[in-house]
This record gives sequence, structure tokens and C-alpha cells, in this order.
Amino acid sequence: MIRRRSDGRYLQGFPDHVPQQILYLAEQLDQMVDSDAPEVRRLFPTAYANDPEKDAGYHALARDGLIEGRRAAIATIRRTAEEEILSEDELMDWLTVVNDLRLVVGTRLDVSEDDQPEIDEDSPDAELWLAYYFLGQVLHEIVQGLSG
Amino acid sequence: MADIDTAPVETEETDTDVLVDEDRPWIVLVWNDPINTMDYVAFIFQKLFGYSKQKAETLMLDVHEKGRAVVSSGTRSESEGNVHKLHAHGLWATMEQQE
Repeated sequence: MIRRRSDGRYLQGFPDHVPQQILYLAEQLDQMVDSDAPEVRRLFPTAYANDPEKDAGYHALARDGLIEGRRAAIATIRRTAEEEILSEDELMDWLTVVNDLRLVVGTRLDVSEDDQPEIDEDSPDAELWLAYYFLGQVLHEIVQGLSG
Repeated sequence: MADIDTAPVETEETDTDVLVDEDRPWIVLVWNDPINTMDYVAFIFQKLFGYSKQKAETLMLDVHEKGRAVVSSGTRSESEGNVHKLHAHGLWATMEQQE
């Protein structure tokens, strides 16, 4: 799906609905990334596990930058969702957004290491599980493309 | 005299202790989490630290199998920078001063 070109840029061959779906989800993340929603807290982990005071200092300095970086990556998706040729930096932003989305969705689903459930279409979480698997596939394709 | 001699020595010792304490290197740990994928974690180690594919995969497997791995060591400031970069990429990273 993603191939490195001889000029160092990348050709993304996803069907059109894939970047559109990423953009749709990314816009929701953009709305909530600076909120205190439990699933978003996963994007701002503890730095000093044994020292709450130092950890508060780290977060006071780091939080805005982490939010800004994530919003910049979402802005790249907004700008390039219809592009077939991406620079390495742009593709890295796609990777960041897709992984952030997967972390948020996975946290909301409370996935565990061995969770690979069949999706029960009647479950209220069915749509989230679909998104989780979708994001996992896209993530894999991008990592393969960037590593290749 | 004894009192006067003792006081400065104690102060010096305290200063030295502080210096030595600050000088002890900090390590950055990445912890296993149930969501990040193995190939993503190995790729991020290569990308952020310039590690070879082999080293990145060894570290990733340590995270996966042992629950955590030390991915860098250095000053407190360097380590905070590395933790920040790992957090920006969604990895579960912490830092602590080496014993």
C-alpha cells in the first residue's frame, strides 16, 4: 500500500475511503486532545513514576508541546488526505495520528494484550472495535512502508 | 577549634553529596502496554535513537517479554528530552536516576 519512491518520497495507494476515515477520526481527536477525557490521558503518560513533584513539573512543561505536536500532525492529515505522494515527514505525521487514534480507541475499549475478539455486531462497542482493527491495519502498512 | 573545623567539612560533604547525586545518570525506561504493536515500537526505537534494526528489535522484545527495557541513559535533561519524544509517539516511557 505504501512504497518508497526513488526520490525519497512515498506513494500511498490506500483506497480513498482510508485517508478519509483517518481524517474523520482525526478531527474528533483534535476536538478532545486537550481535554481531560480518560482515554486521552493515555497520550500523556507519567514521566517520573517515583516522584510526583518532578512529574508535575515535567507535565507543566511538556503538555502544551505534546498537544501542539499532535495537532500539527492532524493538520498534516487535513492538508494531505487527498495526496498520493507524501514526504517522509508527512508520512510520519500520518503514523503519529493513526497510532494516537489507536491508543485512544484501544484505551476506551480497555483492550488487553491477548484481545483479538470476533466483533459482535450487536455489541455497543462494535463500531469502536471496527475502528480499532482498521487503525491497526493502516498502522502496519505505514510502518512497513517507512521501514522498507 | 574542633567545632569550627567540623562545620566547614560537613558543608563540603553535603555539597559533594549533592553533586554526586545530580551526576548519577538517568535512565529512560519503556514499559509494555497492551495497545502499541511490536513493529511500531521497534520502528520508533530506530527512528528516535538511530538504533540498528537488530538493536531496536532486541529492545522491543525486552519490553514485550520482560515488561520493560532501558532505552537510553544520560543527564536528567537529555532523558527528559527522550521521554518527551517517546510520549509524543505514544510510548509508555518513564525516567529514573540510576541506583
